[in-house]
Amino acid sequence: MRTASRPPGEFLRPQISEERVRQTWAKIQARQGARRPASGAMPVVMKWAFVPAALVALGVGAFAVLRRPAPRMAVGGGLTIASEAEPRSFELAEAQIELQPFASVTVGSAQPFEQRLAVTRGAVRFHVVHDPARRFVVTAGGVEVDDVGTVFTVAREGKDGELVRVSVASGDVQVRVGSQAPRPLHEGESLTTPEPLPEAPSGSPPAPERPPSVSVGASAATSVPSSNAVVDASPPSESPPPPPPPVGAARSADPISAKGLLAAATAARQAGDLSAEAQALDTLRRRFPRDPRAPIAGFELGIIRMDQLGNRRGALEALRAAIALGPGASFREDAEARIVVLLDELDDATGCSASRDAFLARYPESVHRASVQRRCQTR
Amino acid sequence: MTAPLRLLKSPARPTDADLIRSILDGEKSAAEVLFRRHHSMVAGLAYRLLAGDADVDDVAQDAFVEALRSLSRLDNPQAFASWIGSIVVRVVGKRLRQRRLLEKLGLRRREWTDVDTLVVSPSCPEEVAAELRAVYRVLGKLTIEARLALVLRRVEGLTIEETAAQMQLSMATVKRRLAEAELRLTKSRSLDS
Repeated sequence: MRTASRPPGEFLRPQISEERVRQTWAKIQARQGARRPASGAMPVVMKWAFVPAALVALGVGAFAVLRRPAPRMAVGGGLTIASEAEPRSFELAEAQIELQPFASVTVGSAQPFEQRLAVTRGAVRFHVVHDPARRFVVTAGGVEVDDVGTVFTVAREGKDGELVRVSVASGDVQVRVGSQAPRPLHEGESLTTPEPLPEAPSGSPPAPERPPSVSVGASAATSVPSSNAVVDASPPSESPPPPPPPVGAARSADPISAKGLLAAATAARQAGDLSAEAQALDTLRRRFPRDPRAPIAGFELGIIRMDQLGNRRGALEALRAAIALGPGASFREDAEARIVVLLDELDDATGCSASRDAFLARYPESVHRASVQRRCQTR
Repeated sequence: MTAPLRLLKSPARPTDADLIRSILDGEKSAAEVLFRRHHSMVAGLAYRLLAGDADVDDVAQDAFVEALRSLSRLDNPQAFASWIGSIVVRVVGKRLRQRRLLEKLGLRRREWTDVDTLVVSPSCPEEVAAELRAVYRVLGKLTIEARLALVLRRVEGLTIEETAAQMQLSMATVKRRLAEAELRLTKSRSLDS
């Protein structure tokens, strides 16, 4: 059914500027390697230095939009998410979490019956969809805040964060200070502990050492003052706007599950924090090697280490591990080609030759063939 | 008086076969001429197969890189356009598979085609635009092979034989893929109506 005179595709054309054409040609030239001598066969040898970039643009394409500057994330026993000059937010299964500038929160190990987080610096606001079957607990020093379906802020204040302030914008929380009995804190109220508090160990809920004294008063919880005021008595009329709708994340998602780590990696990527993304992916593949996401996480980790972080040995390890986990065929081919390049750049002549020969035998028609062929030459 | 003679002796526009011979002989500038001659076709085909502008430049790069690398294996240099078209189809297919895998794994957000923005030519007749919209609405629901076959057939206007050649599949397979796609297209239209 060929269209009579003009196929429909004739009306469907990209608008490509001369500048784009020039750039494309420049990239093609950059990928072209030296010509082969004399024989005439295969006179143009391609270099695939830009293939990694294309792959990164693709999958990681996935990965694309840089919305917020430079937060920092580190994975220890748990996952620490931090903001710098700009606020940032992320989501867990049951909560949306907003970090004010220069704040830090550690997502502790998830349990089926509870999720714990520790505010270790600055002010963090929580919009929690209460699940009676799963506690949502935020700690800050010796203060433990147990959500009862609410929007609340936990802030470390004072010069060294020695004060902990809990402000409830909506709903109720139960606050336990040290070994004291829990007490309710209602909408519009805030609580500030005036005494120094022990620091929470990363990734695990802090054990209170000394119970601080407590003051309670009505509060507006929209922002957290930087003063050391013990009691905030802002009028309730200054309460923040209503909380946003419930977080859309699936309730089944466990933040320390493969899905949760993937979400953390995505959040880090969107924030432009490649180190944090790499750490989340690394944790995913190590903790959940049987998860179907693990091979691709290892592959993406290898790409980030190789192309962005300049960590060749780490990239090699990640790509090899990803292959061992059994990724899809197209990823495996790209991973093996990258391994040849990495071994070459690491001056592992023996390993490079063996990997190169295996690659060429396995993928005789590969788009990487020419560039792989040129590798492992004596320097 | 010499200009016309020169023109007669040396045609202004070398054929693709001339250019490919020059490239194989080491004439670097011939590669750019070949690239510029076919870039619009390659980018257009990639755009229509991908259903959008994202990745078009990357696909064009990959296709030309692969084509230039493999020129010596091209039996009929005059068929370069068709040949690089089949490379584009293969590169797009691979890219779409990667996209889908990444989407399934949650590593990539699914992109929906805005069919109205795809039809860029103001001279496009309404019935053709409607046909294009119908095709592009169902693409995301098709398997990769069915998607490629449908675009080559319905949008590029290729015959089944040409579609099979571009996809490097048997005609029987292409017919099956097209039947699958057409069924989805029919269902989509009936839902719309």
